[in-house]
Amino acid sequence: MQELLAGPLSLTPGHAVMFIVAGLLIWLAIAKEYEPTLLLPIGFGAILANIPLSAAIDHVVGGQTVEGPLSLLVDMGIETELFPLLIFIAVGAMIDFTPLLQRPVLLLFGAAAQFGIFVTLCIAALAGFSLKESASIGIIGAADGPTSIYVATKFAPHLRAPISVAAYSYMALVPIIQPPVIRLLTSRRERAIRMDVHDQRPVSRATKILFPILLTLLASLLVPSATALIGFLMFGNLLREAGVVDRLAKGAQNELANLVTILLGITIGSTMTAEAFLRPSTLLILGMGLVAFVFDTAGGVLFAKLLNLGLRHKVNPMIGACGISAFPMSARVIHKLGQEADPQSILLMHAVGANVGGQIGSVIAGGLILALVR
Amino acid sequence: MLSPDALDTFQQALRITGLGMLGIFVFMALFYGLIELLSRVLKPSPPTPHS
Repeated sequence: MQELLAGPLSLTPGHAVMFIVAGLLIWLAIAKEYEPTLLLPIGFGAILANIPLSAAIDHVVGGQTVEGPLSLLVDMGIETELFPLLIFIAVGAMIDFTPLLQRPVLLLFGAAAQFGIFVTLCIAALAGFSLKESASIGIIGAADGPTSIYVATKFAPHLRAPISVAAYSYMALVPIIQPPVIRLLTSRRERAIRMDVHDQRPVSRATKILFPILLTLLASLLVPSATALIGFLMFGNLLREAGVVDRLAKGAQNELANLVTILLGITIGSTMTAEAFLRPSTLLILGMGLVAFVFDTAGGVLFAKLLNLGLRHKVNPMIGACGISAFPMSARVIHKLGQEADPQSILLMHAVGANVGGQIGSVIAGGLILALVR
Repeated sequence: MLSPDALDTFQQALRITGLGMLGIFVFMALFYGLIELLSRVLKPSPPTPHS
């Protein structure tokens, strides 16, 4: 009888709160369809980790610590940075860089919309976090879950759980976060600016194949700490564009993506123990994650407005907001906002180009943070 | 009032902000140049006429 009651008797208010948090994540995934592929496994992993005396994570049997299967996955897949990197192969295989290759100027928005990372880094430093913790919190602004997990694992593994939850939650909330910021910074007339849909130059197959190879060489030679991040992303893209390994490309897009997403999600969820998650710093991190997304959006929009001062053919400043890496959510949001301002406006391909530029920008930002923070 | 440690961290964060944003723009400008170069050198072959 004593053994049967050991679990319920060990329940603490912290566990109960974590069950509510986990339930909220699962509800957001199922009822609201916010990043369900990640939030659902994360929520369930959090339940497994917060069951008192859970055998799913490290637990004590007969005075000895026994490693649980989820703790083993943390050691093998997260501490080694393997899971986020494998996700990058899948992401690379899914991304079509053609809209960016047709209009490479859109890359600049992928740079400007990383502004939130650095604003948040400074705010976190002011809030009393160490430089490495601040960098890990700032990287939420990369709007890229794997990059956030990768940097947090290197710099502040004890903050990885709230950082991951913030990154994935705010990516899902892009349709709610971006429109008010954009409306605040642009007039209706600016949002109605039409962009030419006929300026798409043709892109050769050789260009599509050489782009991921040369970009990897260029970025990795200059910032070696970015090699794994950019290399895995571009390897996935090379599989897609090579045209001779369709089986591998489809495997990366489907089997690899699905399998690693399941493992990554439930493993991250398992690190959300009450002791690790229910701290004042978690609320601060969630708040600063929102700040990062707001300043990313503002950085992109304001940069586009700055460019317009010197351009004859104006760009719609909303395109700047697509420079964040939340692909393809941000592009869809901006296209919809453009049609609200002018039903004839077609911004989708420009928005997608800036959005994939943001994917490259976020990986480069992650690499630079790794190189600059000592 | 910030402690000397926090002030030092903030100053380092500001330095990283400057270098980081500059670095990202330099990289993107390099990639821009790379794409322009590739598209000029490797033009797509014209479509073959069909009978």
